[in-house]
Amino acid sequence: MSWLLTLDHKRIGLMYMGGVCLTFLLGGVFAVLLRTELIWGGQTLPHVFGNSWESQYNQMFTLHGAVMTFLFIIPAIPAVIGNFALPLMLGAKDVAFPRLNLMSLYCWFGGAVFFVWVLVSGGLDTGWTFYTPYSTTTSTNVPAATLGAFVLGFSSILTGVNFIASIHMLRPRDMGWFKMPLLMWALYATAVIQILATPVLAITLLLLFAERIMQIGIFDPALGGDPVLFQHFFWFYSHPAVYIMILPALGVTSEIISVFSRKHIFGYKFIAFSSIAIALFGFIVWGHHMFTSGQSVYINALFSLLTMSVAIPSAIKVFNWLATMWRGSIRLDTPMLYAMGFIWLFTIGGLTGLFLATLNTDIHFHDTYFVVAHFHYVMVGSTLFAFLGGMYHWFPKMFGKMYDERHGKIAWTLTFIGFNLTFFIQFIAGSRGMPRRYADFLPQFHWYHVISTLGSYVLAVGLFWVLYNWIQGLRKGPQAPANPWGGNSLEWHTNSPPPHLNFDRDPHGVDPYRYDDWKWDESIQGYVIRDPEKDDPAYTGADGDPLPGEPATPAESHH
Amino acid sequence: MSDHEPPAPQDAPETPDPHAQGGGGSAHGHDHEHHGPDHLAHHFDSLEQQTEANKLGMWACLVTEVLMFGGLFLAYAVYRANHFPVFEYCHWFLDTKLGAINTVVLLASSLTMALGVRAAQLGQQKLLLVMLIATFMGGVGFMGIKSVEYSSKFSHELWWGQGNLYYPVAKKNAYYDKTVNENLGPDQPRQAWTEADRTYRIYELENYYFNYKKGVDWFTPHYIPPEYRVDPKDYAYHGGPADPPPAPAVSVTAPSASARAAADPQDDAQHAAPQPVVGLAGMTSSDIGSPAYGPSGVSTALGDVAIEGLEPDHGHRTHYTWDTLPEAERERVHIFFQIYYAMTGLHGIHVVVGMGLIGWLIFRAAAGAFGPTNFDAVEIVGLYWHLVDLIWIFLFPLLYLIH
Repeated sequence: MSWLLTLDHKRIGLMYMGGVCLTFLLGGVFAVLLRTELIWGGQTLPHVFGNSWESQYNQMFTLHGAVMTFLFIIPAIPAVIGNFALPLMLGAKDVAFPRLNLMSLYCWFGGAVFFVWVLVSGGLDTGWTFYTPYSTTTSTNVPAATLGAFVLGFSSILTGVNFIASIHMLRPRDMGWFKMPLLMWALYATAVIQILATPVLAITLLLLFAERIMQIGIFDPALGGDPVLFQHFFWFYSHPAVYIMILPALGVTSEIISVFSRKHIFGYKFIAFSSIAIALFGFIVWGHHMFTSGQSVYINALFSLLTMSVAIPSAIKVFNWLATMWRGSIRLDTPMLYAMGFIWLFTIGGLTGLFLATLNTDIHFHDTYFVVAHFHYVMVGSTLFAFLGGMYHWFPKMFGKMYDERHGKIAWTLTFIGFNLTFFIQFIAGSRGMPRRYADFLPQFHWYHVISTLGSYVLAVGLFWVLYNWIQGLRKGPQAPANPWGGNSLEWHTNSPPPHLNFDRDPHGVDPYRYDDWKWDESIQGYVIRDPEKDDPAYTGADGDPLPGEPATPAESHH
Repeated sequence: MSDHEPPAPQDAPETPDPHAQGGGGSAHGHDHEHHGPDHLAHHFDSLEQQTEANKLGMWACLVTEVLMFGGLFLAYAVYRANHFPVFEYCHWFLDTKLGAINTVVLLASSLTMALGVRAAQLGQQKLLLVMLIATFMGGVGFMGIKSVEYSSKFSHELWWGQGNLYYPVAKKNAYYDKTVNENLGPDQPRQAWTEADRTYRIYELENYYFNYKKGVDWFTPHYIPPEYRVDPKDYAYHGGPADPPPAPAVSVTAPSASARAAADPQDDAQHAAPQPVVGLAGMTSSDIGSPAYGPSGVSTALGDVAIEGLEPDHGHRTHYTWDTLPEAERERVHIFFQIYYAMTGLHGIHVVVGMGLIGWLIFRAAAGAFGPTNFDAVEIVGLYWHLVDLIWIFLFPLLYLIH
């Protein structure tokens, strides 16, 4: 039980991992249930809770959305991979505020308890967006859910505060801003969004809670309130929230693409600044969730323009990744498969977002399956894939064991195929008019739902295969070397798993994307530091950076 | 450089450090004795770094607080822009004098807090303790005055939510059924809240607040400057409390068309036809936006555009009463009180949290924990307290000084 009072960021990251995997399973169960409901028209599943089988369906999609959004995908990469890797990549012994980190974990547990309570006490059927006035009048347990999301918001805020202070303060003296790994830039931008946007959600939920408990009338038009005001409040947080989800994923992808192409990342500064640009732009586009809410056409046009401009920094990243891969020596291991899958699926998700940013097509697509497919492409196809890829990438570092590569590839194949089967067809269904959040559908949509549901089963099998892969790796995997992939960021310069205070000797700043200093060692199945004299007499190793392990003075020529 | 031989993978519990070699950097991680003073955390290299990190972390937290209150300020701004008469009408129920005293108290406590930080920096233990206690007392004073204000409102039924006197009549009956009627025996008559009841009580309240001790000076509670006072003959309620008004028409519709037309000629067009129920039972979606109900959400005070029933006051100091309040606004009066309680209540919670933090500092200062090299905690709690003060500085004019 020393883990529950630990201040070690690595342990906190692993506890988060256990937690988010459980909530992912819970959200996934709801997803499979709701897809199964939709495999046939009319009622499919027995009516177990709620007032009717339709309201049972409403509860399933609400709980799927709320659990996945609040409990899984917002914390996933920052709290699991970020907590583990950030201090290591910065060459630090821990994050800036370890006790805040532990508090953030407890807030997450608290929020999770609230949502479990919601499950057993009335459920929730408002949709994860809690739109008023339905959320102020429905008999499901909205108060507990809002309190749960409120507590989870603190988890997010504390992580953000921690990361900002860590990135500003804990870098070694010779690691400037532009020598950090790009994952740090991504986490920094994410942290900025977390501290600016989450408090607005906090106040929104508090006001909703007050409205609900005391029937006040801030949002309820029957009492003089304004339901569109709730939407503005809600989306002012929730749009930046989706950038909290995607920015760390973009950072993880930058890392993986570069390492597995064994080539320096192309356009470092562009990628770094594009992370900041996405964070900033993300705050001024919330109105694109409200194009059909009756707001003025002028504000609609402005939001539409701003939304399309967010595509620019995202596209910059995609092109830079492709340029990184060009003429690199690509190694198609499991993390790379996930990263390449990410690029493909994120591109689809992003391009379909443009259809939704365009006003005339959005009128047609709003509240249809097109939207559902779009956000699943960016949340599951992109963020989840990056999370899985990142977990595979840092698995040996976290646990000191290697997973089985063959099973990793099989799991990836199932996940990729299952995901696309499930969601690609939904674009078509949506554009032909299938509305979202409907328990039933017209007969012409039947085959779309059948394909989608069967795809979801394949996806579920694939994800269980991933879990099996990890568990087998933990139990029976071979010893992992310190640097199985040949990366040069600082976490690979220490043991797998790292010692308690992360490094045995003070690390100093290196160019995280220069791979020349490592060579493959077959006996440990990993990379080791190249010895210039023994391995390659002509290698000078000099372009200003000290070789790892040497003091920070300019390296002498080894001619 | 590397003279390690690759180990047998199964034997070693972990792979050797790729940098293992003699000499080189110091093994910093294991040398706890010389790391630094006790209050230097193990993951920081120096006290300066720790102090800078602590301050940055606190500023980041303050930013989150600003954003959270910002949301409330936004709700305030939207409602005030769209329903200005309500805000003008209701803010007279707030006691400006007590609010001003609260402002001075908080400012003074910020001063003592800053002096406390300085005392910590200079190592003046006793002064630090005195200043911290003074700041704490400032918080106590603030909460005390706030409780006086709140209790005076509660005694006049100016609650948040359904208990509020101004809560829409039809909805309030549901509340009565739950709170009052369920405790009555089967023989006792059921109580219901009628429009007439409410109007009478509102007139009583207005008489108390608007005409309290007429003619006395600025230091009296509920002082209203002479130019704002309402002549009692403008009330439908004539005479003093001992002279109850003639029973108003016991109907749940608005005052008669002719009475309203007499009070405000511009309302002629609006009140030419009998108006539907002001209480909102039976409201349908088509009623939203109808002139009788009033638009919801979109501001009507756009420049000089005159919308019936919601004219902007063009800088004239109007002082609304229940009779002159536009119909559409009458059902929204309770929202002001919710916003008031939400803003001041959330602020009050932050004051209490701040007092807790200062209390913790007092304990530590009494034990002599702070000095010229260790005053981080005092400084960052000071930052928090200054923010709490700053938020009140914004709240006070927005809520109390609307006129």
